[in-house]
Amino acid sequence: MSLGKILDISKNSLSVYKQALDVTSNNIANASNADYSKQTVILTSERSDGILGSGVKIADVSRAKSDLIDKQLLSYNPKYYEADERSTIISQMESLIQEPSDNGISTYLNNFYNSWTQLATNSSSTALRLSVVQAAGNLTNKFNDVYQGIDEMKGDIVSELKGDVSDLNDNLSQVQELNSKIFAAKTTGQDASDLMDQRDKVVSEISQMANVNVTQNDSGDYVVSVGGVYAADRFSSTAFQVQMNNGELTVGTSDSSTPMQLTSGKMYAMTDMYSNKLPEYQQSLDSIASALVDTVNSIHSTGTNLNGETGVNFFDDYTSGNLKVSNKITKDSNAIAVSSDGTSGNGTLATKIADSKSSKVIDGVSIPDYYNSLVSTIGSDKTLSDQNSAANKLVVDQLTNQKASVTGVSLDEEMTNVIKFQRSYDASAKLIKVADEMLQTLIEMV
Amino acid sequence: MRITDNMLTNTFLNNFATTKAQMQDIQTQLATNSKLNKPSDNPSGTARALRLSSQISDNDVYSSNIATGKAALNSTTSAMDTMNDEINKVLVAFTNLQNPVNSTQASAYADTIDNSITALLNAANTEQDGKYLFGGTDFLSKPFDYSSDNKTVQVKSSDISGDLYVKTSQNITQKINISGAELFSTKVSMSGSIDSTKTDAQQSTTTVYDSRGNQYNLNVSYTKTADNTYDMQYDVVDSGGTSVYSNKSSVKFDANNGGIQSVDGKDPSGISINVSGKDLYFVLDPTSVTEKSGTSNVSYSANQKTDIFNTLIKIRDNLKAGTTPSTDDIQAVKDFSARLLKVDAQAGNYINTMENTDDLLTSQGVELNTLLSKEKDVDVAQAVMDLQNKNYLMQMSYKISSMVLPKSLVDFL
Repeated sequence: MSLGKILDISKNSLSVYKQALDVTSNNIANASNADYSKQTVILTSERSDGILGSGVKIADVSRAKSDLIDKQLLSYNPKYYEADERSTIISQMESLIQEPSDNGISTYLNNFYNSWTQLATNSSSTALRLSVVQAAGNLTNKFNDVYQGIDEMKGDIVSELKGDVSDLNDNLSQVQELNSKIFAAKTTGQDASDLMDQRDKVVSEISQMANVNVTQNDSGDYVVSVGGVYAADRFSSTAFQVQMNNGELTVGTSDSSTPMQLTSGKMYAMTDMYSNKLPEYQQSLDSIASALVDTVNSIHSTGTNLNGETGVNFFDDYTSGNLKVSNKITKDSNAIAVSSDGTSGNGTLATKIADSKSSKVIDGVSIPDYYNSLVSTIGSDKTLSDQNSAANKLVVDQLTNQKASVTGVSLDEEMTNVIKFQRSYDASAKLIKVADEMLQTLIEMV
Repeated sequence: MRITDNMLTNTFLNNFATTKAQMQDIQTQLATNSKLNKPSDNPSGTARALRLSSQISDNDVYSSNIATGKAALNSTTSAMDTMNDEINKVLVAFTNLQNPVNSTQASAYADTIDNSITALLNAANTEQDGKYLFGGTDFLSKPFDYSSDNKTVQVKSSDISGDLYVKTSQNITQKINISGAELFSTKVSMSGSIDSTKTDAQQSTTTVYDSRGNQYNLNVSYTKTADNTYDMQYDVVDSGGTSVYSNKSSVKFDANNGGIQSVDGKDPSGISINVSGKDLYFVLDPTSVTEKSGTSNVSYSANQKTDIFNTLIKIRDNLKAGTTPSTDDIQAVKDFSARLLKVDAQAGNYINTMENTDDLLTSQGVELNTLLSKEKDVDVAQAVMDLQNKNYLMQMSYKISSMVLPKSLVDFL
């Protein structure tokens, strides 16, 4: 081997270890970047023509991959975000009903019935009559507030979903753009690791929204479908929009031809809560209000009020979310009709209305019990969502940790590499000095 | 397994967030002293707590109703005690008048009777909380007063027979008044049966008297309108044959036992008949009439001829004229005295029943509050210990993370 070769090998080594240190420094710089995939320098010996070697070279800079874990994350991410979104929406419902407290429908309903019980003690008393009107007013206000609060929640869900769909569309465009850039980089032999990290990050964000399916074709492009509908590849991406079909909230393609078949994800939680769960709560409230209006009016209309009238309804006919005490009653408490025989002091019907509290008028249960079970159902729905959210979060956290274990940066590891590459760099430099000295020796011999 | 720096941070943050969330839950419980702050804290427990709170609130109202009822009945018994004193004075006067020495001073006793009439009238018009206690359910009108010619005491409101009821527990409705009709008025009770096979009118008649002693005929006829249902027509006709009052009610009998089921669609009760301008008020009680096949024999019995006020007015006027009370008059007063004692005892029973119910409500209230407390209240000692425990855990987490997280090989190079 000529001394020149030693110099060549050493010079190459310096370059290789400098590049290796570059990769390591990039790893260290991204140690806290959760989306970054660790890169590894793969060294190999330079091909030699003879017996002796020709030094070292960088065979590849590989990007750590965790395909199986990524797939599992794409499956569990939407489940976690769905449960979490449900939990958030139902927790708003819990805040709305304010149970158990002195400001919930339960208390106002009870006060309403008790005001009738008290009216029976002196049915001509203006104070007790006003107390009935006030208790009924408090009940109807609270009831309408809750009902309209659910309507407002539904409006908020639509707004939020529109925002999320817009984000989804942006993300899908990004997937298409990144597919394109990665393909271009690969065909020109450039490193596309950072672009791939970005693409994985975008796909992970999409998976929070809905059930997503990602496949990689032979060109290395991601082909993404969301909710069973083609969404993006290297050539195009689909724009989705929020749609309303017969009162049901859905997400579909802009031309309305293909609706998503959502089964998980934040968007599924929102559309399902909007189209099914919240209407269920409202239907229960409708049953309560209709039963209340029917039972009270059926008794009240048979009575005689202090103005000598009969056939007076206490509540107006109920229409969705509008429980209202009749204007006649609110304007004049003497219009409350509780006398069964026409005398002013007869309060028989007040007692009957109070007794109707325990009448089993909705599906075999009383109005207060039916409301209590609605509260219990809301609580159970929230508990179930919380449990699902916690369980799926545990899985997502574990998978994220597993992914970090494979693709994450370990500073200890990188610092060890730094020392290793630095030492190799030092040794190569030393070798140049040795070769130089050897050459010097030869020159001095001449 | 490789352990990367992000794994360490993630694990620390997740565990730390869990401990903090648990601490927040305990702090909320301690701040509100309630384990149930939202339905999801315990869905079935919330439903139970709502039911218990509702029952507690119901009990409070029942207790308040009992206090109202007892106040009314206490005033009523107090008024009846006054009446009893006056009736005793009248009876003593009658005894004195039986002494031939006193019988010559009959007109002097007339004043005693007159004072007693005034005292009785005042007691009968006793007011409490804006209500005339003996006014029945028409308690805003003064029930009894002299007629314009001051010769008789009339029933001034249309109906003094109504009963007042209040709810004193979930399933008990308690009567809280003694109606004027119950204590003072003439009650004409009907008994016997009407024939279910007859379709034409089944008539019966009896005699009633107004407060001046004038005689009237009460004619009642039942006409079948449907199975077990009859129109009951009742007419009051004066001695000249002129109808002074006419009305009808629909009466329905039980198809099984023939007993009366309803009058005008309501629970059977007495029908107040107040003939305006005729000083005639009585209660017609058809509740004992039954429906039978092949038998029609309705009969009548009245508990008195005229009420106590007009009986005493008649006695007073007779005494003024020097005539001592007849045996019938004395018996009428004695009958009223007996009725007064009986009704007074009834009022006492109502009060006792309500006191018992109130005791029951009190013990139920304690029980319900205990159950609610178990469901809702926080075991403060336990919660504080849990909080302290979580606090230690968190401090430990802080300490260890501050020691471990910043360390890497860099620190040792």
